[in-house]
Amino acid sequence: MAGPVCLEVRFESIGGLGAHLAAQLLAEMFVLCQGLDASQFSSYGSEKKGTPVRSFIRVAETTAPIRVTSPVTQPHILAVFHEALLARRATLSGLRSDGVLIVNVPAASTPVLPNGRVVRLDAMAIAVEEKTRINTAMLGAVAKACPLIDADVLAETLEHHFGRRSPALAASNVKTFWRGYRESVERIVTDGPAAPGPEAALTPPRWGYRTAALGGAILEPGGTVANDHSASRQGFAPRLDRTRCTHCGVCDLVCPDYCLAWTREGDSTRLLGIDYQYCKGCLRCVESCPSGALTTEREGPWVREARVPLWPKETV
Amino acid sequence: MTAPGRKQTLAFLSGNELAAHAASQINYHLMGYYPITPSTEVAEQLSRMKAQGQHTIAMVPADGEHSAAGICYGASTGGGRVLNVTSSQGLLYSLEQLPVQSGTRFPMVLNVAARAVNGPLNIRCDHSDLYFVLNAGWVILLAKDPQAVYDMNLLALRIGEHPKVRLPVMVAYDGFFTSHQKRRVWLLKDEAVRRFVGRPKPPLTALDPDHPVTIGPYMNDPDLINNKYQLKLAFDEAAKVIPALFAKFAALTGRRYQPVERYRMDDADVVLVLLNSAAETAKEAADRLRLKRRRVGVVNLTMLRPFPADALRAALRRAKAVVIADRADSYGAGGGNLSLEVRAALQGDTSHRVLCLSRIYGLGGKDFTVEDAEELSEQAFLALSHRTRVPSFDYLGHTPGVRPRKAAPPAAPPLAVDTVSRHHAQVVEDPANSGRLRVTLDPLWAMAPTPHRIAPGHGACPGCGAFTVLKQFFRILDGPVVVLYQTGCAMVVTTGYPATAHRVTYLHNLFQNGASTLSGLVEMYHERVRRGELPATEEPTFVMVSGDGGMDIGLGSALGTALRNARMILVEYDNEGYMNTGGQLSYATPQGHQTSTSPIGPQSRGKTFPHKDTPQLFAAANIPYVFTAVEGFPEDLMKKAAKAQWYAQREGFVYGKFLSSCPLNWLTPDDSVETVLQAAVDCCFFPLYEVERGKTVITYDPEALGRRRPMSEWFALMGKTKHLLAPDRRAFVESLEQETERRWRRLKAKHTHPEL
Repeated sequence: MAGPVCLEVRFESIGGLGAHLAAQLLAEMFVLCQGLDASQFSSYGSEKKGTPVRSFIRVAETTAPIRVTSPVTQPHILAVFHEALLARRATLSGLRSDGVLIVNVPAASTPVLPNGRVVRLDAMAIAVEEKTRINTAMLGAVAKACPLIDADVLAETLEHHFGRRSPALAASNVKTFWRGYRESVERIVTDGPAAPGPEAALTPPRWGYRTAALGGAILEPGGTVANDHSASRQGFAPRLDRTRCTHCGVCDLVCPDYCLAWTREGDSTRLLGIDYQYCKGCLRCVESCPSGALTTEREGPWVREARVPLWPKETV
Repeated sequence: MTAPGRKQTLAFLSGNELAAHAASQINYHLMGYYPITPSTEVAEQLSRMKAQGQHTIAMVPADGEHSAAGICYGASTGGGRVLNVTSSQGLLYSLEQLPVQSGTRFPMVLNVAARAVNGPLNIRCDHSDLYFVLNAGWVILLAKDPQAVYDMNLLALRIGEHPKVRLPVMVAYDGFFTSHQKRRVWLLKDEAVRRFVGRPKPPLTALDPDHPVTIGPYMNDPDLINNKYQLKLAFDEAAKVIPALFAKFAALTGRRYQPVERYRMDDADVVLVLLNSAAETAKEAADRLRLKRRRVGVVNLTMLRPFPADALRAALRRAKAVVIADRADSYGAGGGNLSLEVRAALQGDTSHRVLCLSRIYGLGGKDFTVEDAEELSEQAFLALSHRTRVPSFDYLGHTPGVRPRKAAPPAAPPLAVDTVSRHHAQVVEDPANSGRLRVTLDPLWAMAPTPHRIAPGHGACPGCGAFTVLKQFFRILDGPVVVLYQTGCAMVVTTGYPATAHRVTYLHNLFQNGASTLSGLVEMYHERVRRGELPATEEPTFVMVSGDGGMDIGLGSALGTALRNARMILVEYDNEGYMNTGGQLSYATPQGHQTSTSPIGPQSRGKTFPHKDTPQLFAAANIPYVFTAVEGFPEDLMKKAAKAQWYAQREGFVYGKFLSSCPLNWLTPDDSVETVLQAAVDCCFFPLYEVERGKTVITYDPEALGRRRPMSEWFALMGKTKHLLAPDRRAFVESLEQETERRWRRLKAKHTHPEL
């Protein structure tokens, strides 16, 4: 921690879940309503839905300027907006032993959580019911876990921000906020692993100046098959009923993620299924299916079983 | 620290927001601009503020940064105040305008959100773009944090317009680190800003017919050297004017800037010299090291041109070792530009020898941490101790990689050409139809198992309409394919180093010369085959992929390539805006549509001018084949793909446009793509047709089929056009229908008339 900084916050999320906005509103509240100093920024890939987003806030007294502009490596407050992110070591890296972790996980999930203060919230369930996004529910949970935050003032900030669009939006978001506040459950985990240290976020690049191909060329075609985009789905996934599928091929025309698995059998072709590692949940295949073989389902453990890998394990 | 009060307003804003805020309070006459990350937000913010009636700046969206700079230059000759903002490639593309602005002495203010320059592409902060403009003859101010962005924007105007200076001024701040980081800041009230900047008093103007002037003559020697000496004198004056204005500004705001800022310098043995946000980080390191009894100080410049050599020498008078860290290298010079200029300045101090170390850090947005700054200081102490040899010039933060080169990461299995070439389309010339082509396709279900030339795992938004049209198009192409993608969504999400989604050879070059670049490769291919260096077996098909954005900035190069009739295909996925940079208007955005630079508000009602008819522009170049297609009509699209390949391999240039859905920025549900595209086609806004050997054929006529619908039904499907359904917009929507009808009728005439 540097200089006058007294609180460091990090949100780990994916584009489209609203973490950036949540961090902005929280930091703005500290400065304009609670007489504190703060800096806020996010880092991400590009302006896309589905890419990882990390948002940072530093809070300080106004006695001296905040001078550091690099990411928060040792947060007091760490909020993880999607359960899939827990699988990455970098997500939990540097969480202080006296800090608090807030995670959005479905009620039925049993993720491995690190030792220390952990707050669970099924923010997606709230967002789906209230027809809002998970970010305001997460802010509710963060407000409860962090004594420095004045929850009433934060709720007012949300009301003002969303109220500029419509009173209905303000009301539903404020309701989501308080639901997040009330329904989040904190406990002390003692039987988990320690959170990884800050160095876990510093993965060295794949190539270095001695090994990278000249000029930055990429010599391995199709390397993106190693990417996992399942965290881009917002609670729903397409499900295939093979008994109803007529193998017409229309779904393949409209899938932007190239994740349908086909096979040729003699003169005919058959749809085997979906490789959910790449499916971002746009549900265009469901919309296009003329026989109702593809339907929209809530995300669940069935996805893992139903997955048809596009490449056998030896390759990927 | 800023004194609170002094009649200033507390706010929590980022560098970009503050540049926009200052501009709005100054109320420039005009801004000519072009979006580029990370400076785009300034134009978006100003567009939003204008829509709300907060200022009256004429916002002119150019077709590229070179044009934007030209718009600004022309406007500045008219005696009003002009503003622009850009970064990296945008700054470089407009480079040739900059010395004209300074050489002919027309002030303006240019904000630069510093970003790395291409080759390979990187959108994050370093100072490589800034260092290209050191010789442009502009005053260069440096803003190390958001507050300074605001303050320097006010100062820039006074400095540039000073009668003894009359120079254009740049305000450079760090992309993302300053442009996008929100901070607690103080703003002057509008009236105080107006009083501080006063009114412009240009000595000459292009808008005074009573005093006609020739601006920009052809000037030979011996006159040019005098023109340049005038520039030199202006910089001598600026060196005096700037500190004087800093003092005035301090009286107004309580914030005092110095050309050279010193931090804990009184007794510093080791000094770090850096620019902008990294200097602030270094101050933290200095504090930490002081606790360990290491006497470290930090020097930061607020102006780069004129270069404050005297103040720098004075600041470094007692230093034993100086580490000058550049956020850009001048390859081959043995140090970045700042370190070379600092070393040169220190030569002027003959009384005192300082050990200088040149370092390069933070390239391409690599974070510069407090630990990094400590490391630099430690290297200097080590050098002073003479115990270890410390290199005079080095990089910080580079990594060698694992030796030997590890096995390649998992990738898709190699794509054999015959696996992906399944001859799903058969093409014959039809003598009964003036030799035009007839295509028969395999049934769609038979095509499904054929692998794609793009692998899954790319980072596009859910439901992205670009990847569906590309998959349908490329499915039909047989044989080897070489692709070039222009900067844009499809390029960014498929080639994030070290992984690529492409399973064929792929090139990327600059935003505005994709067509020329690929045509260069095409010509090279043919010449090498002619020389016997390459086998004349299956000839690759060369395909360029661009968004509508690339067809604005790259239109000149594309038409030039079409006129040369290069044997390649150019396909454009038109999603009606610059989506990769966050949804700004393009020239293909239809009239009335909402974008981030054509917002909806009391003073703004969406895009003001009609969309560009790119297919007709290429048809006028008399190329063999032009087509339009959408993914909802796959057979139509695929037949056109087959024809495209046929013509590109045998006759010349082919151009095709897809209307491509962008759910994120069109504000439509991810899965509603086909409904929306169908409506766009059925209301005749996006007709499906081809121009084959000069003959126009409409391939789907909704009117003839009785399916034509009003445009309002299309508008009702998209959040970006919902505002057009309001009753008070009925007359405007009627005018849009008339324009659509006019274009449709002309197309039908071309379809029907044998000679059109």
